[in-house]
Amino acid sequence: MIFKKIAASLAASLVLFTGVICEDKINSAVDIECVSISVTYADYDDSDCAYSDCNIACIDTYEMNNAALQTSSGSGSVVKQFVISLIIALIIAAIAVGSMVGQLKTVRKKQEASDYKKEGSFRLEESRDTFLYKKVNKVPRSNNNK
Amino acid sequence: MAEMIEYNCPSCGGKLEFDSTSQKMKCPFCDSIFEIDTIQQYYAEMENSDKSTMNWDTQAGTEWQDGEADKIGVYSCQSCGGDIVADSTTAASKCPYCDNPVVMTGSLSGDLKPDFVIPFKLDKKAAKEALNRYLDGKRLLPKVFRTENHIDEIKGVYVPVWLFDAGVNARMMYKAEKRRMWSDASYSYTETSYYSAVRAGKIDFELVPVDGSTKMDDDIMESIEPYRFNEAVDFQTAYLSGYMADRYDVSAEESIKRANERIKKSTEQIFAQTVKGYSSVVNESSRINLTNGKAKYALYPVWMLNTTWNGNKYTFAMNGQTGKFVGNLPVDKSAAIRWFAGITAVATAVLFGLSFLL
Repeated sequence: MIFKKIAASLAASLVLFTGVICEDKINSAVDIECVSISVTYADYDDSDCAYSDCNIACIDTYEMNNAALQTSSGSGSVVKQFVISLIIALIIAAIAVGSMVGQLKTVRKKQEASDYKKEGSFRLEESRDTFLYKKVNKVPRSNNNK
Repeated sequence: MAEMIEYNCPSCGGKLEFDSTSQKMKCPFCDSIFEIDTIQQYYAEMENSDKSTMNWDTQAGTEWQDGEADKIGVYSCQSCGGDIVADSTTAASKCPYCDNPVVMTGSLSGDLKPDFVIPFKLDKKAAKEALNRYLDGKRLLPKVFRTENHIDEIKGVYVPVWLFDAGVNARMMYKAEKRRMWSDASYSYTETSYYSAVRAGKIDFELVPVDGSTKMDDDIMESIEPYRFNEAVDFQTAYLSGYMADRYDVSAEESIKRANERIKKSTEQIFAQTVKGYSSVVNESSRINLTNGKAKYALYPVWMLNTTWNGNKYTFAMNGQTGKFVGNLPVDKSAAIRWFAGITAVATAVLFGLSFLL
């Protein structure tokens, strides 16, 4: 039972963790894509440069910017990943230890009487579902905010 | 002097006890085994043919205060003559001088006579083994509790319970929601449709037990449920021989409230399960009418185990029929901290490592 709970917690945490990490990587990818697009536009708008020169210059600029971006955000990202890992680990530990404590406390008041339901005695005489109203909520997509 | 009965072996005169293995009366001295009905009949005939009177002079000591004496029963052991002082609700016990099992029939006659009894199926040895199994595998149990664990007392007790039958007539109203989500290039949409759901019907509950003794902890009795009532038999005092037993001191009227609480909760759960296909369901109102039939009075078998550790008393209980074992144990706080730190460290390392792979 305890192992099932721990496994479930681990699975849930892993899904959450995967989601957070993937979101990080997707955001990075989006940032790079945006830089790349702005560079392309710059190629065509910059009338003072020859196309090929400008293209090489802009690619150099992009590579330098990208390298600087990765170096500055690299250590921050590692710290962020560690903190997230620690928080999830604390949750897992709390659930696991809570479950172990629960094994020591087995005297509990029974809330219901389902063991004493007479077999076949349940008869549903009325079952009616009525539609009341509808509400639509719309939220701007996050990609459009960039 | 209160009335009591001992069952003597017709063969050797030793005191008979109910044997949970054979479900018969057994003499621990000559190992003779007797059918319950045979012994009951034998003693009924003995009583009719040999009406002896026992008049005891009990005028001694100081006067009891008002109502004080009502709570105490004094019985005379028919084997050694020793006085057995017991709570007035005690229905079966053992003589403290000669250890002979005795049954106080006065606590079990007239309106106090139980309708049914579930005989013990498991013996004292099974209760000890169940305790050892229960202590195994508990990582946060202090090790010294296990090693220094000496059971102070193990006693088989017949606990009085009221059994309620109830017919339920219910009508429930729920507010339910269905959610649908989609998105286009600009927006994410969530459409929530609201419904009113009505459910009405009937359901019956039978033999819902409520502890009828103030001496027994209600939570412990509910924790060792359920009992298999199909193994219950008509009450006979012979089943109590060798065990402790109490008569009820909580009336059926007082107990019915607890049965109704549990029945209402179950009814709500059963009806809520019929509201399907929604994202969320909230109970808005419920009307539950209960029609309680006549309550039955029964005795249920419980093995009680007591132990003392660090000045605290720990009580365990085992269902004397099914073997279900419960009891609260102490927590080793330092072990809990060690486990918490260990799991946190390992999980952090694993998750942090995985973050580079994903």
